[in-house]
Amino acid sequence: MDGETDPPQAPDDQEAWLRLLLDSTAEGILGLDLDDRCTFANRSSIRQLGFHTEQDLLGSPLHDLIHHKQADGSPLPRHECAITRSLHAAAPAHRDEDVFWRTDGTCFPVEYWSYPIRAENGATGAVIAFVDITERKRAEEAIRHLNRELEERVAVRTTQFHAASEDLESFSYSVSHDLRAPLRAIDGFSLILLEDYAKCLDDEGRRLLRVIRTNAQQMGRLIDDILAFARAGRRDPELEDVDMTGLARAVFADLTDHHASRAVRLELEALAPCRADPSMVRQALEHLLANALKFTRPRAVAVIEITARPDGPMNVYTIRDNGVGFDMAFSHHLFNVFQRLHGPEQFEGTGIGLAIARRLINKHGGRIWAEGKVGEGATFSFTLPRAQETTEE
Amino acid sequence: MPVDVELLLVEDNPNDAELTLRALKRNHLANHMVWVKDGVEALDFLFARGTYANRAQCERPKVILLDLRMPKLDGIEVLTAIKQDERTCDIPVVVLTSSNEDKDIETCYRLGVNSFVSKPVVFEDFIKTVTQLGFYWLLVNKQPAP
Repeated sequence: MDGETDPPQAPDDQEAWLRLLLDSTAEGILGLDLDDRCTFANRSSIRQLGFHTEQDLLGSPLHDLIHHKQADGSPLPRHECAITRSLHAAAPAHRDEDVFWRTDGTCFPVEYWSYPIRAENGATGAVIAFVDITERKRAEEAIRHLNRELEERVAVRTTQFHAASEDLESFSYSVSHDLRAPLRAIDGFSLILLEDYAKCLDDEGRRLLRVIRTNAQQMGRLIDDILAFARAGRRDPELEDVDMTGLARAVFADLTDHHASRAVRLELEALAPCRADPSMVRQALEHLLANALKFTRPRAVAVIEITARPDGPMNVYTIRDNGVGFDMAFSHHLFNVFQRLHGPEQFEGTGIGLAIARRLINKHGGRIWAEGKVGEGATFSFTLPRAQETTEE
Repeated sequence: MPVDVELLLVEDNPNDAELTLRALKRNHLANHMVWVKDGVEALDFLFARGTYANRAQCERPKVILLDLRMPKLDGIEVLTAIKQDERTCDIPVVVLTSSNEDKDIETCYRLGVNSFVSKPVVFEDFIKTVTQLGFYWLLVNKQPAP
């Protein structure tokens, strides 16, 4: 506006002062008398409605000039016009969304307010204030559009997700049904051959059949394990506070039940409870402790130590053993499916236990890692969220 | 003179059927066994219709060994039909399948299966399982008189 008008000074003349205020606002402001004739128009309203001077408007019926049609072009009769009604009722009115028409026959969306002008002997007219809401409407439409798009995208993704998880379900179902049958046939018929045709086979022939059977049986175990792995991640954890000391002791007791002949010492301090799914944590502990028991087998006395410490919102649980350990250079393979650092002739297993443990811990937002040294034992650590009712620090 | 049918084996896989038969024969449990190859044939046999129209309906097996995954009618559908029909609902049905999916086990029990057994891959275990099943359902178990 620089250069167009003089900088505002407080004029002595009351009317000049009002004029200055009216012309410097961005809202369009119009005055009406009781006959709907324009009594004044500020600069913004003249510009927005496409007129040149105030004279173009003064004395004209405003409804016929700027408000005679609705947004779709159909006529807006006077008796339905909120401005006219507010004028006659001498009551204020507000329309959040309507249209005003310009002199060139185009229209634009507006929000307007109508205030009656009251004198001693009743209303004498009204003041209409309006704002062009083109930008607001565009923004609203953009948001609506984005929301629609987002909803559609969510719907598509949800469908894809359901389809994928159904595919996975039917995949593991089919693995469990269809892959086992041929293996049973390979194993069974190899044995029948060994039993019924033993006389026709020499030692080498019989050895070869045993190799076939060993491999068929190994593949059967792999299928069982991959299904167990798939099952481990299938459901979401049901969280509750878990007594880790009791759980660790119970799992250890279950596992050592089978080999009572071994000397195993459990060093278990009071472990802070965690917030987790008890059956999932139990399963993870089973795999980790079974691992510790397996790799301490060559020791005269196996020592397994379980400790816990807080770390921010999580607890870190650590299981340390004095077993055969492993080379840290290969530690990144440890938690992958079917990865083994020892040959089957040294230690049995398919290499699924730690992968399942990691999956279960990850499901709780926790991490799992291992440290070790060949011949000097292994240390497995994992984090789980702290229990809500923390009993100790 | 027709021989009483004691055991009905419903199994589409001929290899599995042969292995099952071998396990039963070894223990002389296969003398009164009938093997049908799919669900449709199983129901035709049980309800004496189709190719089994001339069979006396009153001959009922002491036990049905039922596979789940079969062409045409699968094991779940056959189990449903058996347990819903008054004439067959009291015949013991043992599902003998490769599956050990929790969902299958739940479904079968809801439909009234009498036992659910997963077929082991290792043949010695398979023989042991089938033998135990044969002994139990043909010799140990008592059933209502027809």
